[in-house]
Amino acid sequence: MTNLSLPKPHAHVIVTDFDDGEGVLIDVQARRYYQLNETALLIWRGLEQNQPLPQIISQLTASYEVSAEQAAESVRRLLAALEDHKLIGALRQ
Amino acid sequence: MNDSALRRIGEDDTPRITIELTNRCNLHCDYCVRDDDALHRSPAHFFPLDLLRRIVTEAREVCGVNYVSFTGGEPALHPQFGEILAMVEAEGLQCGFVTNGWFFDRAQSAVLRHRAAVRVVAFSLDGATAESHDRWRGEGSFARVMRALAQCHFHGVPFIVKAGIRRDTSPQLEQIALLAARMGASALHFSHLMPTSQTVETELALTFAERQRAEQEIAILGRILKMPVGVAVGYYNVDPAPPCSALSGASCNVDYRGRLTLCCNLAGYRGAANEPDVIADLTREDFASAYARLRDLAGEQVARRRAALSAQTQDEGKVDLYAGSPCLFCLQSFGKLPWRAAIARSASPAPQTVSSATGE
Ligand SMILES: C[S@@+](CC[C@H](N)C(=O)[O-])C[C@H]1O[C@@H](n2cnc3c(N)ncnc32)[C@H](O)[C@@H]1O
Ligand code: SF4
Ligand code: SF4
Repeated sequence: MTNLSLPKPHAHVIVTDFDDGEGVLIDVQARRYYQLNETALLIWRGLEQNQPLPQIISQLTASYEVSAEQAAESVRRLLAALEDHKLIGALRQ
Repeated sequence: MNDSALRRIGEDDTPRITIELTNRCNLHCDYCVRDDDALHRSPAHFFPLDLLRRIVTEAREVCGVNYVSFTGGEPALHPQFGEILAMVEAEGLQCGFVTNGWFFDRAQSAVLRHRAAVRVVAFSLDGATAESHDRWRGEGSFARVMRALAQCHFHGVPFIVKAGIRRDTSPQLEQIALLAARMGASALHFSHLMPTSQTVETELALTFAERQRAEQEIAILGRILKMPVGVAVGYYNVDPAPPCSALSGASCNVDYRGRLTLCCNLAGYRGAANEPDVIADLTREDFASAYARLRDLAGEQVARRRAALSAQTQDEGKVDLYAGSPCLFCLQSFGKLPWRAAIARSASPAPQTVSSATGE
């Protein structure tokens, strides 16, 4: 995963957020919901806006008490899960 | 097709009143039953809260109404939507509303505040994909309505999906049903297209045989899914008994000008030649006397249809679609389909005139 090549959300995935900061992804092709916690929603918004990885990581470290390494690991895990469920394009290795 | 195969929906005998909260709408669905000028060009009418309170309390006294169904135009555009739900709750009534979902984020906080009063929210869907839905409802509509479904689902607000049966949606009935079920809808109500012009009829309405195939498909979906799936009253049904709550006396409609009318399907009908279904101006008359005349009109319409069914059965042995479908029969006999006037002439009731307080 390079800084410049984060995958994009698929067009058939719609996001909605709740007042408590969490959100839901609606995959209208597979007709499924996926719940996102606050950090996952923040990462998803970053992907939507085509933000580079360091920007997403710095948002996470600014908003939560996590180190850059922990934030990077959270992003990596979420991207893998999103790819697994075909909610984003393929990750480049 | 009989009722055991096809679930009739939205027609329980709970006394109910439908109220059009506004004439205006933010979307431009070309097939819409409502008059286009009223939706998009006439001055906006927003149903006055005081009149609404008076009508629902009188309707409760006169005919036991305890459920109010809000429609439009787009009901969520009403600037006092929250106060309306608060009034329904304060009166100990229940309500639901049908919406295109575009402004659900605005309506949602009111729904959550008054959830005890909101039995169900009905979302209109024109297809199982953004492409098919947005073709009618404009770009971004599908995403908005899907977000609204998700919000209801995760906040525990019961919702149903309403979908039209037309040439473009008939290949998608199963996909629409699966989408509604997976998104957590508590029911799916299909309804046949009400034609608003010869062009709409030619291009969008199904033939008799196609309608029957769609009805059979829906009956199957209703059997295999846990979510109730059915067709609103417009399906082919040659039973002469009152086919719907409006004709059996369990429901009525009040249009955005405060006029009592037979049924929300007929009200403000696009291109209509006549409005014999408009009974009274409730801004000037109390509900009780107007409602008595409405019952007479409903009784006459049931008798008229019974006669048409019996005549066609005797003459030709087969009832055509325009008598067999109760809604098409109403549209034709109430002058809503002027392009079919020649065929309709024998079934027309005498037109009535009602003056409106707004002078329109
Ligand atoms: C008139 S709209 C008002 C509420 C709101 N604007 C909406 O679209 O949900 C009420 C319902 O009528 C349906 N409808 C509109 N025109 C129709 C037609 N020609 N035939 C059948 N249903 C129609 C809509 O899809 C919607 O479910
Ligand atoms: S169907 Fe509803 S959303 Fe569409 S134009 Fe008619 S009133 Fe508006
Ligand atoms: S159009 Fe006629 S048959 Fe159809 S629901 Fe209204 S009153 Fe009933």
